[in-house]
Amino acid sequence: MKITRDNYEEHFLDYLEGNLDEKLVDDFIDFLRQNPDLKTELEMAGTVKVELENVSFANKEKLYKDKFDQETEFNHTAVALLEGDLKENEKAEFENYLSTHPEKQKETTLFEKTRLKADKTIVFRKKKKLYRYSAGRTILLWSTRIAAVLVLGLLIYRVTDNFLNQNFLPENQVAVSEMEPKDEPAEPTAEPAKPEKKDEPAQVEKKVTEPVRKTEPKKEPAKSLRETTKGRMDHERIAEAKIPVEIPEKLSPRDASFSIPQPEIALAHVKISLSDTPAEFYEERLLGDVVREKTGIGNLSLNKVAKAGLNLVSAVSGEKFSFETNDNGEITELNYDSRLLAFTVPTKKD
Amino acid sequence: MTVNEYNEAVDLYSDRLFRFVLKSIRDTYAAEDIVQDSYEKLWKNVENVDGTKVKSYLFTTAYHTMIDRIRKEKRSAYSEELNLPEESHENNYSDLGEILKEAVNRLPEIQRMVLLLRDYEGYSYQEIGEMANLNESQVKVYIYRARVFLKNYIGKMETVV
Repeated sequence: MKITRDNYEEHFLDYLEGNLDEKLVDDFIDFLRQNPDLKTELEMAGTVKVELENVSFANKEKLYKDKFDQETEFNHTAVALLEGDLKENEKAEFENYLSTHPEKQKETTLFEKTRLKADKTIVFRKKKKLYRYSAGRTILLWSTRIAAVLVLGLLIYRVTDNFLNQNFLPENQVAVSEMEPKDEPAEPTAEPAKPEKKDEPAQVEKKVTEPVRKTEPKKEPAKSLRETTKGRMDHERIAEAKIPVEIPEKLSPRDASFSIPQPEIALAHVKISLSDTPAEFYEERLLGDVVREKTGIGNLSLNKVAKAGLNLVSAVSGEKFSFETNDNGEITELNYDSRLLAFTVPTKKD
Repeated sequence: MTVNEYNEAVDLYSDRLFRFVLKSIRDTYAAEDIVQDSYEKLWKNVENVDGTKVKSYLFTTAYHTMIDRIRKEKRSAYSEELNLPEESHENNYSDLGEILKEAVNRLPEIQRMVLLLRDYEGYSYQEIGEMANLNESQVKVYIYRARVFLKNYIGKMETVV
């Protein structure tokens, strides 16, 4: 490449830095001869040298990076701090870093919030299903359950029976109000009572027969009326056979008092010495009381029997059926909960 | 292990086990089934299980039962899951607890279970590793990832709120 006044600068720089191509040296000398003004410029440029100044950056501290400035390292250490995995020196180093980087404290606070806490209100409802018992206890448990169901069944039968019997009374009572104006003594009805009802309690019979007396004109007496009439008739027959008793006159009251003379003799002194050790007492107890105490039959109540029965139903239904009790142990509601259907029936009114 | 010890284990751990399973799979009926299954297995092995390791046995059993269920469900419902729309982010959060609950629900199952074992039951990395058939490093990684995810989620949500 030929050196001209247009491209001489780069060749001058190469010359000054000692990088001028050897092939161009002759051309370079010829060019300087032909251009003496540029030779002077070259000599001037050769003497120029920039001295290094002692200048430093003042905010270097801000540029330095800590290892915790790396997000991964920070997260690792923050989690380790949370988990208690840091050694004392590591912990101190991290805390020192946090103190100089307040903006990072928010991050550690967020990590602390990730600690999960168990919700204690969540409980396993079917614990009863998990319990296991020894064979003997299982037999006893089932015997008790069966007995409870039988007793419950009997009670329900009794209650239902009583309820049905009571339902006849109002019909008869309606008849009483209709016939009251007649004001005639009751006459026994001719209808004979059914023999199977003979053994009913006298009190019930009396209640039933009373309205019957006044419903005599009724053409179609109730079934209960017929049943109880015979008993009444028998009673009247007995009444007729009674011998009249003379009632004596009323006795006038008399005042009476006792005077007890006080003894003048001084009472004798008796010394009683008690031994230090308490005497043993032997209590005579009936076998029935002992059995009642040991077996807990005495504590048996309708509520307990009902609970035992409901527990059995719950066990048979795979705990789909359950019940709730109040503070007094009374059954307040019955629950049924399956995957398809769930309902609650309250047993007590508030 | 005696019958009494077994029944004590019911009193002591059934609620905690239920909480762990329920939070892990978020299905009450399935959680109840898994708790019952775990105790059933314990009862079958009642003579071989050491009384001091009952809790670990129960949690390990429940953990593996859950993993099996999750794998089965994923296999059967994989294609359906792909079509499921992403859960809405427009939930109204009343407090941090809600946000955290939502964040926990979004964790991958294994991370969630490992974290629950750590936070609910306070198990060590080694214990969790033994339960979940993982080495200690894997447990640490899962816990680390879970915490970072939760922290980022909470941070993001707090900013939004």
